[in-house]
Amino acid sequence: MPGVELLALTSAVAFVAVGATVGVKLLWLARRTRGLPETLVGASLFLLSAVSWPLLLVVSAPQPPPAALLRAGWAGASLAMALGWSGVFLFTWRVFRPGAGWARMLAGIGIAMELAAGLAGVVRAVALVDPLELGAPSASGFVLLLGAEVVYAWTAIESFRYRALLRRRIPLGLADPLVADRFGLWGWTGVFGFGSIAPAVLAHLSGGDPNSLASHLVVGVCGLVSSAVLYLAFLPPAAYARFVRARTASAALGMEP
Amino acid sequence: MPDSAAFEFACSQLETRTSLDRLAARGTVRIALKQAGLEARSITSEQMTVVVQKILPAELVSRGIDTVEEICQSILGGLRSVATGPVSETPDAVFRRLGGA
Repeated sequence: MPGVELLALTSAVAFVAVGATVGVKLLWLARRTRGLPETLVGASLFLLSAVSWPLLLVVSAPQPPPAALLRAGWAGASLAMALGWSGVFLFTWRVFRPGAGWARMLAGIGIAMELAAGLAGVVRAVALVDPLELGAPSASGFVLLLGAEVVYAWTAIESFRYRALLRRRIPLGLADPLVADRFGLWGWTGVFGFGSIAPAVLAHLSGGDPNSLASHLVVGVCGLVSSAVLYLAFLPPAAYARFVRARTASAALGMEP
Repeated sequence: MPDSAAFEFACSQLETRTSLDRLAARGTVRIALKQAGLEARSITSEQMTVVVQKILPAELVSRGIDTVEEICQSILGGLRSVATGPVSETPDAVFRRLGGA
């Protein structure tokens, strides 16, 4: 297996493992707190990483599975992606801009786009005569991915903006450096989530090959970094938490470590 | 979304106790909040207390206002009785919970 293909596969496995673990952790938290944000982001991460990604790996395998499984796989992946990214739209609106009319509208349009494209993907998976053609670019797939790009960009902008606010509160003792850092990591998750989908969107627009070596390289790198920052954001090891707090304390004294 | 009770209280005190008009008083407090990374619609009494102690005095001095110490003490005294009231959960409260910090 060439290096780039190995990187893409490693990246996919890392995303499935980290996303599913974080998703389950947050859903477990939601079971206790009954909080909407943890329910939304936990369910979204679980659907995107533990359901849609494994299904996409199976249906895209060099040796395709039987037709019925192929159709079910594409339908399930389409629906899981639509619901997952809808959840991220809802999370970003409810957490960052609950009172803003434009944010409610953006989230509403994004969710409508995602659900319509997801359902169209299910219909396509069932109705297309040749199931081996399901991997070819389609309008529903393009809309699904475009919605994802919008929500990843929105999430990144809101997260970085809020991190900037918290950084100003830290010297006043009004914010926890680890929480401020978490906003930054969530913002980077958005950036690299955007990057991991960009090759597929560009291929749709240009008619290029979404499975080229360059595309796999971009997807592989973005997927790996995205998994790493997601892990540090929601499952931070004690050593990382100590590092973030020490870095902040040093910066406050004017001496970076 | 309306501004918080703590913000409204600090602005009204500045307007009453200084020569600043309503617009200038609100602008002065907003500038102080911006420096602190806080927002008028969600600031609590506790957060406003820190702003009044650490940032607002310099802002008032830069506007040529006398008796800054007295004005700030008066705002701080009144802030204790300002009820924060039910506010929607802030993003930092959500992210603190999500990371278990």
